[in-house]
Amino acid sequence: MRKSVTITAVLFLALALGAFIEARKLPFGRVSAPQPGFFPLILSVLLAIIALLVLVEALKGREEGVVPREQLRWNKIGLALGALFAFGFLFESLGYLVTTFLFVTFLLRAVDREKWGVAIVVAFSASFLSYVLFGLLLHTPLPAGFLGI
Amino acid sequence: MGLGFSVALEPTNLLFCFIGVFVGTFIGVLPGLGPIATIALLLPLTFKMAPATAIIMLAGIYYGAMYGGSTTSILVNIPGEAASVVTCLDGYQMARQGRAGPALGISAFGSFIAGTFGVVALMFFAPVLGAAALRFGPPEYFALTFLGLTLVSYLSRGSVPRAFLMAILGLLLGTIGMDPISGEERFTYGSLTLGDGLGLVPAAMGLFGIAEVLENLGKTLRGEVYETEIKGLLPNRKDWKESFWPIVRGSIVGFFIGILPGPSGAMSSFASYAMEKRLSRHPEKFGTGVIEGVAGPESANNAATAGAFIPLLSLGIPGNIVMALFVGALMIHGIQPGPLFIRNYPELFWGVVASMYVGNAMLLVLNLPLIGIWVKVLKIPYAILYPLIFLFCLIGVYSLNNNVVEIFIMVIFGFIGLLLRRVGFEGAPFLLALVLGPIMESSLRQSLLISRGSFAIFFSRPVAAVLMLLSLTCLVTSLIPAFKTKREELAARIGN
Repeated sequence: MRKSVTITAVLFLALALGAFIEARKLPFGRVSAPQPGFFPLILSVLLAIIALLVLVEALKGREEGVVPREQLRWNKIGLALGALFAFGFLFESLGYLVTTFLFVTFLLRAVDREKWGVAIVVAFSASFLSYVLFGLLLHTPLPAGFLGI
Repeated sequence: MGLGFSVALEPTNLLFCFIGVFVGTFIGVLPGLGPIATIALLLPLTFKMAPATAIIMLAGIYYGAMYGGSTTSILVNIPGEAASVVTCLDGYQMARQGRAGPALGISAFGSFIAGTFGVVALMFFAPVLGAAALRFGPPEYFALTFLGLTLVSYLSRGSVPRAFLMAILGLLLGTIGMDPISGEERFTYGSLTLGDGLGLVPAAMGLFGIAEVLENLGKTLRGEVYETEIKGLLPNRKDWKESFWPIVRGSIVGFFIGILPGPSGAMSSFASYAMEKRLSRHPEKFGTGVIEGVAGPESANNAATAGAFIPLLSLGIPGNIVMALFVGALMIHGIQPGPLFIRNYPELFWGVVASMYVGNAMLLVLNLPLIGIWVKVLKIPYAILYPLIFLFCLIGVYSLNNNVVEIFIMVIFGFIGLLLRRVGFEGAPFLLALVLGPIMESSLRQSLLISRGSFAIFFSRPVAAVLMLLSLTCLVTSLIPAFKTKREELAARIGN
């Protein structure tokens, strides 16, 4: 846990540095006449300072307000994330109905191993019903994909 | 007020009020999907509706979720959402003693009474505050947003520095897009999507929708639904006698805490619980199934939802993430929230207020008979539910701007949000900062322009000075060890 906090603090520090460099490119102005660069620059400095604080705290080993949590099954999370990203990539090319169907089926099968029958039925009804809800009733524009559906 | 009721009782508005309240209770009952993700999801869909209808529905979802959350707390000992955590303490115990019915009943009645009280108070306070706010200038707005972020960070679950880190990150990422004063583009690197800034909706849905579901996926959620028949929903005479003052106190405390920026629902229910325990003649019994432990907090969190609308409706400043989403909803309809809101849009304001009365009544009538249905809903296996939740998030975010990039933004926020949560970094300060950032920045810059660079302006004006001092007190006390443990206790109980 301590290691994760340290890594996170370092990442924040890196981000602060990056923001600082980028904010320098904007005009700063003066305190009496602040320009677009004013706020971001000050923020990046503040970010760096507090990130350092957190880093130092983590290195010293003083853990604050840590709630012990159960271990997560990262493999399932990874699968779900993969599915989410895939959805984004395929959405406009395969079209709404197909992508939704594949998405729900994949999640039901691969992540929690539902039976094929259940998976297909749920996926089918989900795609269909949501299409009715979003596409027809609410008039949300949904991509048709190359199959035309 | 008459105007308000004429708006609220229009058939379309009645219908959507009902839909809002129903959906709200539904997602309040479901663990994992909270009012934030749901409102964010339905936001883009309100585009086609009239502004009053949209707000009426969304508001219904908000206070409906408060009702729903208590159902799961009492029956399954899993809070449906943060504000219902305290109800688990005595509510679940009551269920185990076969008194689930009265617990649910008093919770529904208490919420109704408190909700109605909250709306009445809102009716009086909002216009008054709105008038006072007309004399607010940039320094006051800066101080207010500063206090808001300080409070949210102060009351967060993890360490304060980490919450601050998230808040500052939110402020920083809020600068992406157009500069509020000069209109120059910042940090957009030529991307059209970023040019509009980092959307509140993809970020909110990512951090609170996707991240939540991902985290649940990684665990195995099992809760025992209390199987016994729920007979006798009506609390008996003794119950009413014991609950009367807790309800009254809870409503008042809840309302005023609701006005303050921050997680008002959770804060108020916890404060009410602590207060009842302290005032009780049998404090040791708290935690074993005492009805005051349910009546007070449930009333408090419903009153708080009414109070939370005040900063939004009279000042135009959101006090928590849900209110921030409401700002988004208003802007979709081209309405700028602010002190002139009540003056410029009286039908909208009074219509929404009146609808809250109606909504509260609907909830009372709805919840008592529908408890059976909610219990069945709780039994749907999460494994089947979660792909649907994902699907709703994905479509919802796409329907905003037909932009697939926003889907990716949402998923990335979901993943990063999950990681950060595991390390003790909360999403709430980040989101609130993302929304308040532009207001904070423009008021800061304008103030400095007015004062020609002097920071004294924030302390020389009475209202600003008070707000700034409050914020600074929070900051300082969070650093002193003695206060540290107390604050942690408080925050841990709220957040957990």
